[in-house]
Order: sequence, then structure tokens, then C-alpha cells
Amino acid sequence: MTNEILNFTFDGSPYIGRPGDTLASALLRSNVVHFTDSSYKERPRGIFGLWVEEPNALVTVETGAGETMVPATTIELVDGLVARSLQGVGDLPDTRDNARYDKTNRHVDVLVVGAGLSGLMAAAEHARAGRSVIIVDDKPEVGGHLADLQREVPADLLDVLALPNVTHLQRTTVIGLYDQGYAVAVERRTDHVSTEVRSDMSRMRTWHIRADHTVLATGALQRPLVFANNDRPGVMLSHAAATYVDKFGVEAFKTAVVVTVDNQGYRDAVRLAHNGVQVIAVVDIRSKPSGRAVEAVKELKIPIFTNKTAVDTGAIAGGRVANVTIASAEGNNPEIINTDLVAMSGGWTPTVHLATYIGIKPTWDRACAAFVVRHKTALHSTTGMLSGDFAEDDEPMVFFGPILDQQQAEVAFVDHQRDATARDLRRAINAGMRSIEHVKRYTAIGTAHDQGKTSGTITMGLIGQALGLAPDEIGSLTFRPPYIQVPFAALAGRDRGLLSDPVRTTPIHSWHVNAGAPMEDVGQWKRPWYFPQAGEDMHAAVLRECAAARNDVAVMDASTLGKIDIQGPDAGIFLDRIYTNMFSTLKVGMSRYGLMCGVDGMVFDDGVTTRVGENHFIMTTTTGGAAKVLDWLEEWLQTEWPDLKVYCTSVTEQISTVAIIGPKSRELMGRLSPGLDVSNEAFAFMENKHAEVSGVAARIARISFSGELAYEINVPAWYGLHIWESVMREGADLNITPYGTESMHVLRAEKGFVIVGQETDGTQTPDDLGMDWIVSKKKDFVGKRSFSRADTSRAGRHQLVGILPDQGDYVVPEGAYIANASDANVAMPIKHIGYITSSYPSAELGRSFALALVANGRERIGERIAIPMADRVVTGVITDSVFIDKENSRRDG
Amino acid sequence: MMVNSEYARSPLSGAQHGRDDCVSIKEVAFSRSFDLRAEPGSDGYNEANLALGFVLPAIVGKSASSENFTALCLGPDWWYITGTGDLFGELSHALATTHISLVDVSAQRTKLEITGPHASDVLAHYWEQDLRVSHFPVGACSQGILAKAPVIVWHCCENCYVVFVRSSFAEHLWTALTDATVEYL
Amino acid sequence: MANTHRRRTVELPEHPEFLWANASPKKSYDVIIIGGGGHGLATAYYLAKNHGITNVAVLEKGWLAGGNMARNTTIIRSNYLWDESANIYDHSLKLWETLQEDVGYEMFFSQRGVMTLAHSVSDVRSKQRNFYANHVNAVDSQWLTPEEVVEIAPIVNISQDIRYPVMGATYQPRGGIAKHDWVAWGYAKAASNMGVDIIQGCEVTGFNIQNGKVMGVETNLGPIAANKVGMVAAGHTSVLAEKAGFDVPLQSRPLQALVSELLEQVLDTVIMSGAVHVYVSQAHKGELVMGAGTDSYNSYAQRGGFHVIEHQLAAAVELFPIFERAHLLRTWGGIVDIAPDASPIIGLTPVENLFINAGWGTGGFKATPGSGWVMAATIANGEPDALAQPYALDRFVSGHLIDEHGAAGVAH
Repeated sequence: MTNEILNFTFDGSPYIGRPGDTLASALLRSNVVHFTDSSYKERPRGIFGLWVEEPNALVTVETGAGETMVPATTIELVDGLVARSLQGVGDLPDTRDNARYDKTNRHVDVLVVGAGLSGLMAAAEHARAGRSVIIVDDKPEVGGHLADLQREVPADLLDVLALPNVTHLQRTTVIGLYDQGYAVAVERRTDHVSTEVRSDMSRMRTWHIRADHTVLATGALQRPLVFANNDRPGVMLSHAAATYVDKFGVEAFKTAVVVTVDNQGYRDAVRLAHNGVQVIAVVDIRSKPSGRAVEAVKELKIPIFTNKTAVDTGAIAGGRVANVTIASAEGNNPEIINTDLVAMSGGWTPTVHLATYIGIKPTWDRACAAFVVRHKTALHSTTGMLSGDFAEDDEPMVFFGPILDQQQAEVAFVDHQRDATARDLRRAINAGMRSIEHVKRYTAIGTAHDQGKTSGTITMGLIGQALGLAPDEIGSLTFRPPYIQVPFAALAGRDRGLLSDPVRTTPIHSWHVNAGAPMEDVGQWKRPWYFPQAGEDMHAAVLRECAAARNDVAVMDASTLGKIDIQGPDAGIFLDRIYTNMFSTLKVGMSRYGLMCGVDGMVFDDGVTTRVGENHFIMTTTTGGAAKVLDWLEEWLQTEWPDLKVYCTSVTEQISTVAIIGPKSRELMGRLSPGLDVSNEAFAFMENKHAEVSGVAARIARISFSGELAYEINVPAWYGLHIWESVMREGADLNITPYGTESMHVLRAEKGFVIVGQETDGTQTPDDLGMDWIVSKKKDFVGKRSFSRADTSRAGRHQLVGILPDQGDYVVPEGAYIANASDANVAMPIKHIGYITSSYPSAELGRSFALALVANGRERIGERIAIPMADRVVTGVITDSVFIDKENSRRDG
Repeated sequence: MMVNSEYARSPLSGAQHGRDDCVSIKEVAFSRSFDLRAEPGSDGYNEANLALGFVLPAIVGKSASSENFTALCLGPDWWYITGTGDLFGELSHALATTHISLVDVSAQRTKLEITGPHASDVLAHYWEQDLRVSHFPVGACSQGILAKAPVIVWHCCENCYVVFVRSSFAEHLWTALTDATVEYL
Repeated sequence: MANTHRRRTVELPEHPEFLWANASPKKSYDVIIIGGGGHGLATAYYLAKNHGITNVAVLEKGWLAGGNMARNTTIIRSNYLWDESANIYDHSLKLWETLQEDVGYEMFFSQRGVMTLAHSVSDVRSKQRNFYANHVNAVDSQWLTPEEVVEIAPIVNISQDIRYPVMGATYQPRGGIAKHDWVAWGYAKAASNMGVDIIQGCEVTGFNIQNGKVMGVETNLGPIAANKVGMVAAGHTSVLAEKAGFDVPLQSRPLQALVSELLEQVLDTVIMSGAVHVYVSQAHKGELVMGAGTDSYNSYAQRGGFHVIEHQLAAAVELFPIFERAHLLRTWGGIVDIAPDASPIIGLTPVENLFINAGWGTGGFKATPGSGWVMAATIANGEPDALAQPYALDRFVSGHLIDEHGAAGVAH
């Protein structure tokens, strides 16, 4: 033992400890027996256990990452630690946790959970057989109970940990076991070293481990007994008490009484006695205890009371235990023994949690007086105390506490954190609760921070006693992950800030950023929203961009649109089945706008598809629909029409698209591609040409989403930025104006073009949108038969129309609901007739306008409507959905 | 398609990070690649084998290589082919006469090489699939998600993993992977 | 030196001394309700209270209200998109507002508001449509700017630095939370008091159907005859329907939830975010209660994948940085039964006198009183209550779907 001293602060006072201490052991060594008070009943409480089963001694650590609600028994002491006791409720300071957290993945032949003796032996067996092994243990050192007893782990087992096929994770807790051999573990990496928060090493690492086989060697936790005033400071689990005294040199207890149901109590009595504690008595509920440990106690001349147990304790001022009353299980012949430590050995409870997470049910083993898991399948096996492998010569009794009268029951604690008592259990049973789940919810037992680690079996046992049933007749011991609490930040790992979800960018993105364009999140994509010049807000920028588009030339980055390469002799037939309109008749070199519906006949996606070869099409989809459309195409090809000879390949990011639009776009196109005949006769609307643009081979399509003359220049994505820069350079004297998604929305809306996902919400048919013209009457296609469904073919459906508000300078909010004009001033609720889908100010019109879905809308053009809002009623009129150039004369320039 | 290096930009501009003796991540810009679809055993498949110089492996996750090309099997009728040859030229007859599909996807993804003794450690921070050499030996490949980005991972040689990532996700993946090298460099 | 400034939790009152009698099944009843969850118990209660029908048995195969009623995140609101939804959910909310008194049981019903954040231009658009729809349906709703969001909930991160910045939110002041077990036991106690038999550990294994009419059920405790049978079994409805000879288009998916330990109170409203996949409230005692999206496969295992939890917590600490140090304490799963339009199926079945009420998916808890009321009326009258009519099983034939995927707020 080194002489190194660690300084730490607890509740504002300075203390010292040693390397190897936990915060709990150091405090006990300083005689801090009364630690805190309970949350509900303000009862004095002290350190109770040794490790994660600790219910009372919770702290906030103010140094390091500043974790709250941590059991002091699990904190490895470091110099400079500052901690503050809690009373059942944690702190949430509004300061950032700057520690680094990360995660990693491993696949392995065998995962061994627990590096006590049986876990080490299992790891050794598998490792020596040549399998890859990960062995995980949550304590500061391997050995489990051996370490508590300061006994050496056999050297040959330690050697196994260093084998190249063994990964040893210490200070790592498996918090969850999931189906198919999947385990999640959290490794604590820096807190035990110092209070420093490091940026170059993660504080906690979450391991996602997938094992062909998992060995559960999770050991057991001791449980207490339930008697009156069993919660005072100085009433502790016996193995914990003995370890504090023996291993950690705690001298806070001069005397002790051990109350037990098994031989473990005797082993702990011996350890106490060997370390200078006067063990006044071992109180054993059994009649004829025997075994090595019992003999050892007798040799020490420690009195043994049989057929007796603790029924009550008394306290000194401040609450610390001063005496224990022992009696028979019925409470007869009580006698009081003065003591400042009551060490309880209520039996071992195997740590069954992980097994229960995946539905493996523990079985009640009467001989062990415990729920055990004995399991052996290809995926999981159990060993050690978990499977009931307790000390051979021990015969624990199934006993949870004496008979209590009303008054005693009120202070006989079953769940320290919830201040839940035997009386609460009784009440639950009297109220009719029979299932353990009901009792837990009625009493809140097992729902606190310790999640019932010491109360689970006791609760079932006491209910059983009340009803004359064995514990396993009450229900199944079931727990939920995580095994111990884990900070949110630890599980968030590196998925913070910009890494929390991918930012998807086009090849032209850097130009947009340099131009100062605010970005719109379109799914995971960043798209330029608008390109403000100095002093402009969005409104002004959009008016300018749209004016340039309709009067000069404007440019947009359309690279995010989904693109799917479709090839094969049956490609045309396939498209005929998917789209509402014909594509097999499309000429090579031509593009056509297509609409697709779901099986329910509702519009699902749209886009322009181009025939680039006899058996070769390139489909475009909406930006947000790319993945879902490709999935859709593949689903039909693979499951319904596997005989069709068609292949689909995503080329969304292979191709970058720059769209130039406006009356001067022809001039600009000619400059970019001098060899190309850009006259209207040579290059007609919806035609495609392959030509060199600014020195790069490109496919140019005359497609327009704005109604203006327009050219979409498609190049391999490596050249997207180059094309854009060329456009800006060559168009400088033509007032070339970059525009973003907002202006794009306005320009198409002026033409009454729908945006899937804005004019549609999955409940609009093509006819609703006024697009019956695109629905082929000659062929079948996906969704067609649903058009005849009762609701789909009824009269009165919402139809796409335009709305002009009376106030031309007011932009009606998108989503606003529309009522008949006669309902303008009626109180809510009112019958509505539709809602606004798109709404903008229009540079071309010099006023605001909107698109809307209105019941029977097409028959109501000219009718007046009202839009009742919280602070006003907007009035207006229903119009045609096309506001500009209904004859489409602008698109040829 | 030849690369016009004056005008071409790659998503990460050929970035490089780390050290070869530990872990190094770099973008191999303008790597050529193709998506090939063909039914195993069909005429198109057989012609493709001839053009490539090896039999396209029909088991998902396997690869085959020649001097000019490597083919990664991503599906029963689907290969991702990287290489420096003129595959369209080599397959022009097959493309004209059989039912196969060949698409140039060179710019659809960009190519990252993760090399060094800690290459698999870094990859494992985000890759959830089995990296054990027994399950993912040299030559193995797999599609999946890496730090939320769609990728193809190919164990191209010892201590070397190639990651083909969708170009729009490249910067994000670069940030995630280089961040994961912190404890190794 | 003692710490005199420790936070303590709030003590909750005790449950009553007597809850319900554990009945044994009689040979027959006027009505059998299959499913002893919140909706089944509420149905039994309203059958007795509104219609004077007390010769009723509620059959629960497990422990009472041990299904989704025991596992949900307790959010109550009525601000769904479609008129039909607004009608039934707001009817339910109005019942909530007097439920504790009506039933005579403390339920910790707290109308602390429900906020739904919007994180992109299209998100704002669709949420504003929801807001305006609520307005014309007279369902209380406000639109909040990001600044107004932090006035109500200071812990929300409205900075532009996060991946998907908050651009606004809808807010329903009348929304809130209640303690799920207390609600279930309140209904159970009141129903039991009125003579309803609550029978646990009783699993329906088949139906006795003659000439297209249900005559009773087969159970593990023997056959029980009934004039009318209501199936209110959430995810297990498809299993039951199969036994009764018809299909229902329900997918049963795992939905997980989680709690933290008790923490100082920092959040006194309910916040949901569909884009960032997390919803959260802080209960009376101090625990954070959170939920997120479903797993994408069907399962009755009542557990889901860990990646959903990780994803949800990453979203949580971005939106609420103060939660970085909160601990994940416990996760669990339920089974959400989802119809193709994410709306319930209520009313008649192809079997005469066999009624169905299922498919509530992620909307179940908040609908508990309304669902029970409407189902009781439907059973009592033998025909769908007006509020239930839009939710008929045959809407999947007619095409009149009520698509609430967006408003349900949970990724499916």
C-alpha cells in the first residue's frame, strides 16, 4: 500500500483518501457514516453497499465532466475531486459537458461478461481454443469477489488477458443485451486517472459488440433484510461492510452485529473480527447453521444466535445506528444488542438483468434462495454465481424478514430510494395487487435510480409470504436496459453539432457559400435559399431574382434532383406502367414530364424523364423523393415484374445540373456552347442535345420549371462548379442572376406547376391537381384502378386553384384554411373548403398570389372566399391556377 | 470520359490526413468507376467476363481483379467496377446486343483510402459490419452505412480499406473519420 | 459539514386502499371487452356510466393495463391535422379536463402545454397548416417564433449552430400529461365499483360465431357467452381478428420510451420534434420521459433496437444541451398498431355484434377517454358513434383515409 495521499472535497469540507479508494471508502474511513437524508421522508441514510447496488450515497461530482446522481461507491478517488451529496434528485447545471464521448464496433467469437473467477475461466477456455474473445468487467480490477477479498487471481488466468486473441475491457459495463448476440457496453476511460477533461481521449466509449456466443458471468449482489428501521446509517450489506473494513481499512465501526440467512454472514463476521471490529454476535435465522465459515466464527468465540433475526434498530442523535433488537421470526423474545454496525446478509441475488433483457426467464432455485439463470444455447450461456454456483457448503434460507406489526412495517424499508416500506407492500396486496408489476407501480418499489438491484427478489419474496406463495409464483424477475445509468452525452457520442446528421452539398456549394447565400435544409441537403445583395432581405432578393429570370437570365443549381439511369429492352414498357403517361412512345433525344402515383392513385412523385437511347432513359425525381422512388422502382421490378428486362442505377450525384432561364438564356447558351445551334428550330422545347459546354461534354435539355425559355446543362459532377463559374462569367453583361429555392418556388407557382410534397400531401389524384391531361386513357399503370374507388371518384374533392387576396401586398401564410366568403365573420369552428398550399409575392404580377386546394375548386373560379386567421380575416377570390403566360409563349424565348 | 483536370473538382480536393505508419486517410480523386448489371450465365455476363479479364464473382461481398479492373459484387446481378480501362469500349458489343447495363458512376462517389495498422480501428468507430479478417478478408466488400453516409467498403489489401462514399456525403464522412483518428495519431 | 441545500423530490399521494375485485368469469355477460388496457377499461366505464350497461366483463390476458397503457410517454394533445382527428381527439381532451373528478381518482393530469418544433422551411409549412387547421376546428393552437419557444421553455437550443435550427413551433396550451397507471386504475376502480367484472390472466383463444354473429369467446378459463363483444386489444387485434375470420390492416411495430433519474425541474411543458426525432416531458417527481421513433419491423417482443435510443438521445442533447448530464436510466418498449393511414379503426366488423377499436398507434394514451366513450356508444347502440364513423374498417376499400403520419409526430 502506497503512502500517496489524495485530497478531495465533500459537501464543502476537505478530506483525504488513498489510491484505490472509492469516494465511499474514503468517506467511511473518515467516519462519514451519515451521508445524506432520504428524499421523501428525510430519514438519515448512510453508505449501504459496495458497488452499483448502492441506493443512498449519491453525489454530484463537480470536477471533471461534472456528472450527477453517481453512487459514491462507484467513483474511483482521484486527487482534487469535489463532490456534493444529493437527496435523491440530480443537478442539471446549464454548463456544457466538454468531455469527448465516442463509440466503436466489434464482432467477436465470444463475449464474456464479468471477469470474476468464473468469467476468467470461461474466457480462458475459449481463448485457448483459439477463439477471439472480448472479456468485459465493470470494476476497477478483475477478480470480482477475489478482489474484494484481496486474494490473488491465478496467474495463468491473468496471462489469458494478454493473449493476442483476447480484448480485455476493464471499467466497462455491459448495459444492454439485445437479440442475435448484440451487446452494448460503456467503458469509463479517464475519470479514474484524474479530474482533467481531455479532448484527445474519450471519457466514455460505447462498445457495440456482436458476438457469436455470449457467456454471462455477471455474479450476484447481496440483498438486505426487511425489518423496522433497517435503513439507518450503519446498517449495511455485510459483504460491503466487511470489505470496507478489511480491504479499505475503514475504522468507523467499533462493534458489529451480523444478521444473516446464510454462511456469507459468517465469512463477513470473520473478516470484521480479523480487522479489529468487535463482532458482538452473529444472528442467524436458521436453526442449524454449519460449514467452514460457521466453524471459523465459533473459533473466534463470537456468540451465534440461531432462530433469530433483526426486528428493529435504535439510533443515536443524528440517526446513526446504536443498537439492534433481535428476536424470532415472529418477533418473540426480543433482546437489544448495542452496536454501531448492523451487517446484513440477506442472501445473494444473481445479477440476472442482461438475461432478462432478451427474454430469458430466471428460475427460482430454492436451495440457493435465489432467482438464477441456467442457460445454454448457441447464443448464450451462463456460469458462476449467476447460475447459482454459490459456495458449496452453504444452505441459505428463503427468508426476507420477520413478521412486522403495523408500526414496524411503516419503517421497514424495501426500497430506500423511494422510501417504500413493508407497509406499502401490504397496502398493495390488500388493494388487490397480485402481479409484481402492479405492486411495483402501486408502491414505486424498484423504479428509482438503483432500479431495484437490492429490492427485486425481496419484493417478490414478501408478496409471496403474504399470499402463501413461493417467490416465483408471484411473477418473473424482469429488468430493462440499461443495467446502470449512462449519461445522454455519452450515448450521443460524436453525433454532435454538424456530425449529428450529414450535411449533403452539391459540387457548386462553395460558390453559394462565398456568395453569402443563406441555406435551406431540404432533407439532408443544403440548398441556397436566396442570394441577397447588400442590404436585401429575402423579400427583396426574391423579387429581384424573379425579375431577372423573367426579363434577363438567371441561374440555379439543380444538382440535388434525383436521377435514375434506366436501361433495358423493356425500359419503355416499365415506365409506361410506373408513370401515368406514355413513355414508350417518347422519341430518342426528347424529354417528357411524368407523374407517378402510389397504388392508391395518389400522386407520389414527378419529374422529367429523358430518352437518351432506344433502350435508355434518365429519370429525374424530386430532391426529397430520389431514394424512395428508386426503392419503388426496384420493388416493382424485383417482386412484381421480375420478367421485365430493366436495370435501374442511381446517378443523382454522377450528374450536376445547372439551369439557365430567361429570355436571354438563348444568347448565354450560345456563348457557352459556340458550336451548338441554339435557334428555336434547331433546338426545340423538351429536346436534348449533346454538346461541349465550356470545354466539357454535356447533355443540354430545354426543360422549364418557370415557364421561361430555359436550358438545363448536365455534366459529370466533377465539372459542376466549372460550368457554374462559366455561366457567371459569360453572362455577366446579361445581368446573370443566381437564384435559390425560394425564387424557384415562386416562378413555378406563377405558372401553376405543382411541387410534390407542397401541393400534395399523399391524398391528391392527378385529376385533383387539374392534371387529367397527363393520365393516359390507353394503358394501365400503377394506381389507375384506385381512381374508381368510392372516395377517389366522388364529387367535391379538393382541386388545385389559384387565390388572389384582395390585399395585394399581403402574402397569405401557406397552410391557412379557406372558408366560404359568407363565413368570414363566423366564430370557430367553421366549415372549411380548402387550404393554401403555396403563397408568394410576385414581381411579374406586382402583387401577392397563392395556389390552394379547394373543394370543387375548378367549378368555383370567380367565387369569393375568406381566410379566417387569429388576428384578421383575409378576403379574396378563387382564380385559375396559372397566373402568367397561360399560352406558354414565353418558353420559346 | 477522360478527366479534364483543369476544370474538374473532386469533393475533397485530394485531401490527406494522418500518417502511413499509423493511420492515413486520403481521397483518391477522379477514380473511375462503373455500375454493371447483368444476369450471371447470360451472354452479356459472359462477354463482360471476357472484357474484364476475370469471371465476375456471383457471391455478394466478393471481388475479383485484373490489372485494369476490380469488380465488387454488390448483388446477385450487380457489380461495382473500378479501374482505368475503357470499359464502355470493351463492352460496346455486349451493350449493343445483350441485356446488360453499364453506367459511368465515377463522380457519383468519391474514393477514400484508409491505410495503416490502425485502419480497421478507425473504421470500426463507425462501421457496424464484421471486420474480422475471418469474415471480411482481403478482397471482401460490402455496402452499408458509415457515419450515416451510404458507402461501399472494400478490404483491398492488408491494413488498407477503400471506402467509396456518395459524393454529397464526402465532407461529412471525412469529418467523422478524421475525428476518429484522434487517439491513434 | 452537512449539505443543507439538497433537492428533494415531490411526494405523490398514495393509491387508494382498494382498487378492484379480481373477479372470476361468469358464464355469460351482456358485453365482453377483450383487452384490459386504458381503452378497454374506459369502454367498460362508459358502458356503465353513460349507458347503464354493467353486466360487462373486461378480459385481460396479462396483468391489467400492462400493455401500452403501462409503457407510454403520457402525452395528451388534440392538435391533429384532419377534422375527423380533431373531433375525436378534442372530444377526448375535453373528457380529460374533468376526468379526475368524474372518475374520482387523482391522475396528475397537468395541462402544461405541448409544443411541436419545426426545423426547416417545409417543416414550418406543414406545421403551420396543422396550426391553421386547428384554428378553424376551434382546437386551441398557437404559432411560436423561436424566441417565444424559449420564453416558454428556456432549455431549448434555438441557436443557428445546430444541424437543424428551430424555426418555429406549434403550441397547444390545453395539452399536457397524466400518470398512465393512475388513469388505468382510476377507470378500473370506478368500473369495478359499478359492477363490471375485471378478469386478469384470461386470454381469448377463439370466438364462438354462428350464422355470422358472435355468441361468445373461448378463453383459457373456459368459454364465456356474450351478446356483444368489443375487441380493444391494440397490437394483438390482428391476431384476434384472424381467429374471428377477417383481416385488419394493422402493422405492429416496437415503440420505445425511456426515463432518466429524478432531476431538478427544468422543463414544465411537453416538447416534440418530428424532424429531430425526440419528444420529452419532465414528470412531477423529476424524471425526464422521452420517446422517439418506431423500429421498422413488426414485433410483439415489447423491445426495440438500441440505435433508436442512441439516435433519440443525440437529438435530445442537441435540442436541450442541459440534458447532456441526464442519465439514461431505463428503456422499454410497447407495441404500436398502425393502420395504413396512421389513424384508428373503430366500429363494425364483418362479424355481427363484434366491434373493433384498434390501430391507435402512437395516439393511444391521449385518446383513452374519447376512445372509450365512443366505443361504448358504438357497442351500446350497435352502430358507430358519429365520431367513430370516419374510422370504419371499410375506409380502406372506399379510399377515404385519414392520413395522420405527419401529425402523429413519430417516425414510423
